[in-house]
Amino acid sequence: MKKPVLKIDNLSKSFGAVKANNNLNLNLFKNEIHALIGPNGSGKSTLVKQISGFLKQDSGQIYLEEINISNYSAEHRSRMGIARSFQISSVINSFKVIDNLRLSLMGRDGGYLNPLNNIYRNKDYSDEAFDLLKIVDLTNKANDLVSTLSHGDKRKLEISLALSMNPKLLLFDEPMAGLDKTSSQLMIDLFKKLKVKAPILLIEHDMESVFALADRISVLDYGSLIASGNEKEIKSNAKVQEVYLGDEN
Amino acid sequence: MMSEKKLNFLILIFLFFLPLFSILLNDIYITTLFSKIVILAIAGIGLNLILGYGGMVSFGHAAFFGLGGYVTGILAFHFNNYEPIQILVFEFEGTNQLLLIWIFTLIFSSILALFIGYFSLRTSGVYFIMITLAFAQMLYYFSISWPTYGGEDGLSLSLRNQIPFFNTMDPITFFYICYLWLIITIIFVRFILNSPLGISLKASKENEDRVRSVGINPKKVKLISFIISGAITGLAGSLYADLNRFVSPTILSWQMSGEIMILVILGGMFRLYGPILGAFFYIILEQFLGGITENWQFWLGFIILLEVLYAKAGLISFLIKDKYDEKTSS
Repeated sequence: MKKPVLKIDNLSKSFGAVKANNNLNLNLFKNEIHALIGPNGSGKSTLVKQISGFLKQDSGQIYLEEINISNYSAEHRSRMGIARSFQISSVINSFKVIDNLRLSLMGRDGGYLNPLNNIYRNKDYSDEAFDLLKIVDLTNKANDLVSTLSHGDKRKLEISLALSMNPKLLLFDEPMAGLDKTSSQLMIDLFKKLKVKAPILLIEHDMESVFALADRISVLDYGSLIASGNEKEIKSNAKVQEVYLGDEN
Repeated sequence: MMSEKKLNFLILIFLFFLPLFSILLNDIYITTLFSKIVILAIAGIGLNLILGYGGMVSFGHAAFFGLGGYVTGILAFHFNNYEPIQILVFEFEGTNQLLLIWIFTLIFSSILALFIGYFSLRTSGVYFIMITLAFAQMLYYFSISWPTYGGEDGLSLSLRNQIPFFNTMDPITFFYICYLWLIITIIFVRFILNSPLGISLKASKENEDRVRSVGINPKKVKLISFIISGAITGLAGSLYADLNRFVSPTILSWQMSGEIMILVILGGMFRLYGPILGAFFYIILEQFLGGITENWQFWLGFIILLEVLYAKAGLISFLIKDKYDEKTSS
């Protein structure tokens, strides 16, 4: 039997009386893009925050390659290979593009408390950073300040930061939000290549992109999983149509 | 207007030749004043590491400055009075050797910074300011109520502590000892700012979530930086005690914390050499305005008000070409 890279077991999270996630079960396998869709407030981002360790679950377990990581800190999970992008671009705006990558490469390798090595003279990091920027087509902006980048370029930088962590699992929270058609298509092509490196859990509202990318789709509503399957199964699911897709399909 | 590198070089050269003024004017008091500038600059660089680069507004750095002063004073006091320090079954005769005193100062300041930082860094924003202030005030009141070492009256040192082959009582020699420590501090902090710790600190100031998502623990980064900052400030306090041959609770008071913070803000928070300029102008203003009016702090406040409104990057921003602010602090 195929072993999942990520296994979520009865995960629950409440904020007061609101159940953000309610006994969720979800698996993510190798070479897979698993899309998570649902209306706003259905608990998608809460789930990503719990998987990445930014939010503590009330109950339930999270396994990465069969290791229970439920109580690990966010930084520990990052070093284990859970890489993420944020719903709103989250990069170091006052740094140069390449310095953002130096930071993440350093974080990946540990040793970030070293007060003496000159990080800017580390040729291995510079070379690796350029290789990563090449993947997202940002090499020409390596020395630009991040604050001067366009929204699309910041999104690309976030993807390269996630890749720099030697990921075992990629969590992308609305990576296509605010991108134009061309940039979205670039992302779609990129994600298709990336899933071979690490499976992707994708939260996205752009259904065109979801259907173009996802091998499997799970639908959340009020924190509960209401359906899971391939594109055809999801499109034909009456409940999904009622709560999310409407009559557009 | 000039490049930052050129300005930094000029600042160091200017400081190096400062004692010439006292020789030319035949006024030894000026050299003591210059030594004070250099010492406060060291304390400012220490604070700036966490304030300017780490975004931690510590209003309790007098704790380290004062501890450095008291370590120096207490070790010399016991050595001069032939009264050993007794800690449980151990006895230590004290010392007047600066090299040893500096090592003790760095160790004790680091331990205190570890303790204060461990608790303070559980908070942020205004609570961080208050908790660091509270720790410093605790030490201040403790020193007042400790009669063994002079209590409110403080502790006098009959002679400056010594370094083999140097006459530390000579004001010019003592100035260059302080100057050497300033150079060492600059080099050390520059190393840190370009190191993994430094880049993590700057990133943690701006975006902790991003830092955590690349496997870095921002709390650890801030704590280590806080310890280094405390140690540097403690060392400055040690030099200050030797400069004045006197240490009193005043250097543990919140006014001292404020003084160090003001000179950092005055000079420029986001530049390594900002606190040096800040210390220079602070002392010059103190002397100049102090000579005109007793209420010189009023005018200092007015100058700081203007600066905060019109030149947030500090005095240094008026002198260099590449304008700089927090948004471009990479």
